Amino acid sequence: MSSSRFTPRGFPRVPLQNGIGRYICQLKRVTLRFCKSSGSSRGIRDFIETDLISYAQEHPGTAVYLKPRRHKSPSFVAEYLNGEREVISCHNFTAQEMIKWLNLYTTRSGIPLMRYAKMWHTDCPSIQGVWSPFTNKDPALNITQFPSKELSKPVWEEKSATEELLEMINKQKISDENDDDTQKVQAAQM
Amino acid sequence: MLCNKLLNLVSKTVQIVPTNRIAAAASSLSVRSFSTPVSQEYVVDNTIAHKKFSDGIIQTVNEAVKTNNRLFAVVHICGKQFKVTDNDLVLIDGYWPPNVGDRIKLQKVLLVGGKDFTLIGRPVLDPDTVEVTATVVDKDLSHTRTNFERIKRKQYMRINFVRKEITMLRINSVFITQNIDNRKDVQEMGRRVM
Repeated sequence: MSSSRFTPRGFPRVPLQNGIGRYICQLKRVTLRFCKSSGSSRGIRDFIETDLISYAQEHPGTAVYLKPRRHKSPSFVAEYLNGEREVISCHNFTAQEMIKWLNLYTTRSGIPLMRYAKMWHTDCPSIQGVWSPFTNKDPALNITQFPSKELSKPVWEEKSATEELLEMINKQKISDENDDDTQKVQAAQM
Repeated sequence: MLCNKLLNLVSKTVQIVPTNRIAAAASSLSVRSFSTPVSQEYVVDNTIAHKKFSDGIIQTVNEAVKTNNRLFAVVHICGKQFKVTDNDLVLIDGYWPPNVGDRIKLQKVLLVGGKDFTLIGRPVLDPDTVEVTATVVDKDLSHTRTNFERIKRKQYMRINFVRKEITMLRINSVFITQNIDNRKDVQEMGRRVM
């Protein structure tokens, strides 16, 4: 039921650095096992009659074997370049289902099924360097003596009401002085 | 360094003069303003300096591209964004048509960077300038995931088992093919003309 608990967890990988130069199909051998008479092998027999030759032509890298055996449930065995081997039952499959499942097992890389921990893998995690809190910071910080009074202050300090009032009074004083000065000047001119 | 230059430029172009300094001498009436302090801006025409500045940057980047050996790119594939470099593996979840062995040119490149420069697309970079190629390496089904839904107090429970398609992409190369300022007047993006 909860297959995610039992399937091993892993990071994405591909055997033999596949795809760096060119892509190589990882399925090396396929063995179709079927019965010549029983009804459950009917789909696989249809597939062999109609589509098997075109399949073999499309995939020159894989060897296809046929293995008739009397009164046994049909299945196919997929063997990969990395030595993995999987048996897939094709009991009561139609020819279309055969095509579908065979295609799936040819496009696989042969690495056993796993839960992917990440959807990305790289050998070169960072090119511009890993970011830290000190990147692009002022180098003067390197020679600062700690504890420093400047850096211990809060980043943004709000003015208190008293300070604001004092500021307003000071402003008014200055403007009053200005007025006085202008009056004096005017008086002198008079 | 570059940042400082930019800041200098900005401070040169726009000179902000607070109005209270202008108004202080003129009016003795202290008018209380409840809104944010209004400041007046004098915009200096500095297009030539701007051009010179940007040309310098473009030239340094072009030189950096020539000496750089490894680039990275942020590409948008199938609704998701990945940061990729050469020989990376990228997994795509769900149905995606390309088949195994196909060589693909990824055209939605949002960002390209080297050791000491970064080009950012608005939103994508020119597909003639940047080339990101990839090969489809593996097409598989994921492990069986359980979709379980339940509505409390409503006697509703469904359990579904799902195996989604998973496509593995190998990034082959990330290149900048031409000078970054070499741009056409009319850009073509796939079927779109911009």
